[in-house]
Amino acid sequence: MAPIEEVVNLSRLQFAATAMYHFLFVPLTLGLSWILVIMESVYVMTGREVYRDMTKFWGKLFAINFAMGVTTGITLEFQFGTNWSYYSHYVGDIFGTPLAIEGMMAFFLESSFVGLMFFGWNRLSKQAHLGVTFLVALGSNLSALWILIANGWMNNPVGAEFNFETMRMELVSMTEVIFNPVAQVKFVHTVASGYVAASMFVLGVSSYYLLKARDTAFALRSFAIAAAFGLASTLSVIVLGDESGYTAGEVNKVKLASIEAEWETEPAPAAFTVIGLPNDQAERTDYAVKIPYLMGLIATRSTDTKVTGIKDLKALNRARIIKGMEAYAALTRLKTGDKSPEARAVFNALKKDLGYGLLLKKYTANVVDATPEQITQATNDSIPKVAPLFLGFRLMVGLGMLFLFIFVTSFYFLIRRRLSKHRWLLKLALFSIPLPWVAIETGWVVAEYGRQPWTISGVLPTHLSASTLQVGDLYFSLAGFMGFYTLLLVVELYLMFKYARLGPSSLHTGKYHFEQPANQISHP
Amino acid sequence: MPAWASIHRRTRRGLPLWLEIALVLLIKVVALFFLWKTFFSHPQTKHMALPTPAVEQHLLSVPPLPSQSLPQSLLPSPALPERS
Repeated sequence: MAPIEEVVNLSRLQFAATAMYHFLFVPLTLGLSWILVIMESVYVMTGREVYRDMTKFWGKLFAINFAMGVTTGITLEFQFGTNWSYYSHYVGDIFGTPLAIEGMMAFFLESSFVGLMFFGWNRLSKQAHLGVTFLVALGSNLSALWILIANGWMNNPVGAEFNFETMRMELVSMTEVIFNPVAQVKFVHTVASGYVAASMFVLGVSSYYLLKARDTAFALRSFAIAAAFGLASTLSVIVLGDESGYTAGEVNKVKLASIEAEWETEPAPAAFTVIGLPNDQAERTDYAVKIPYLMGLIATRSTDTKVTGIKDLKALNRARIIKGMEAYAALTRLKTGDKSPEARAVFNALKKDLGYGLLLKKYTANVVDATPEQITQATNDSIPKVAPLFLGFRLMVGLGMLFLFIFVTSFYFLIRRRLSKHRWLLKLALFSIPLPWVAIETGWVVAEYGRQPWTISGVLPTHLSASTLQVGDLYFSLAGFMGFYTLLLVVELYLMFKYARLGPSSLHTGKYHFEQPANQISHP
Repeated sequence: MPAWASIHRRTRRGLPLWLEIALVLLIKVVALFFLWKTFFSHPQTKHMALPTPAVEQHLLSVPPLPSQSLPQSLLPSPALPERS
């Protein structure tokens, strides 16, 4: 029997909560490491000490974030074996390699070189130290690559085949897994969003110093690097987000149609719903504001290709569920001893729909005898709830547009040397520091919730992926995780606020604001 | 400003950042070990693989039947009738 729904929901909540906490730390590591490379490169090229101080100060904040964030992802791997045993079995042959490489990258590149980066200033030449900083950035970004290859495979399980003997997916082509278009697009979109988060962090903290008229030479240079890097990163996120939408349109039509609340298949090119209130019950979007043709152009990059709507996708899924019942019967035949070439051929012809048949397990133990009502229930389950995806996606995109505005105006006023006349912009940058995290977490919710009802898209339903556990154990472990991560977050925020407010004075060079007698404090 | 000057003085007197971080890391390792030991040290899946019969039982759950006695409904047919 499938585990009771409460166990599945609690396991999902636990995984989602720990992943989201983990990802509070990751974006800053991804982005700030490259900002440090830029700052240190300028130091190596120009020899100007302010750039060394910038690298050291922002490196200090990087160290705090790195220390708080390191190993927070390991708890997800704890959960694989304990909470998601059937999922782990199904993906074990595929995920072994990427996760092992990720561990090696994280340990050998990131963690080893982070130590050298912080304690090597007086032991390494300028160039060697820059090389170490570069390797830290490369290591952290490559770690993300392997995780996103695994995640991309869950959305588009290429390069693997179901083996009925072992009852799991088995690797056929590692090249296909690595060069999975979904994984590649996810990787660049995710790391670029980390660069935006780090840029906004440096921009906002620098704005705080400028508003307080403290250490302005230091702050202006930091602001300039953050504005330029942030502008380039935000443009990249937007372009790569568009690419991500196109890839979803190619391989995950249900997710795309749900995100866009595309209930009906419209004549090509489809209109884009800017905003509205999706009504899942009535299968329509109330108060929809539409832009003609735009959806078709974004999703298909053509004017004559239709974007399949949710109602038609449901009809297709219903047909696949019925085919899946046949696949289930064929698998049962194989597992009960008939391994004749004919039985194998029948199963091989049907196995791509086995996952759809398994959607019925939520309603009947004996899939092949499902009633029409049960098939309808499973069909309805094959589409995630539209409203959270539609609204979450628009929140993420709206915030992306705000970031573009902030970085464009910051860069413009910076090069026109009119920043001090626009204190509103400095305040906006300061108070926008948390917003990239809101956008990133929302993006993850859209990406992962949009894959439902699957853990492996089209292959393994979520309700069959979870272990059979005690509800009480899940509540206790969930509470343990929440306590642990909340403590880490509080310590992170305390240390970040403390050192960000101190600014470069925390370097104890004797040159900065809090190290000066009050009458010598610099003004802009 | 005096408040921040005071914080700065305290920071100079207090623990250096590397020691603060080392302490947090130590606490973190202990907390992670405690969580693992309490809730996750006996995973159902060892090395990301379950015994195949357990997966069969979970996914198929129908007691295996000899193929020759499979009811017609379990046998694959080229055209299973639409049930709706």
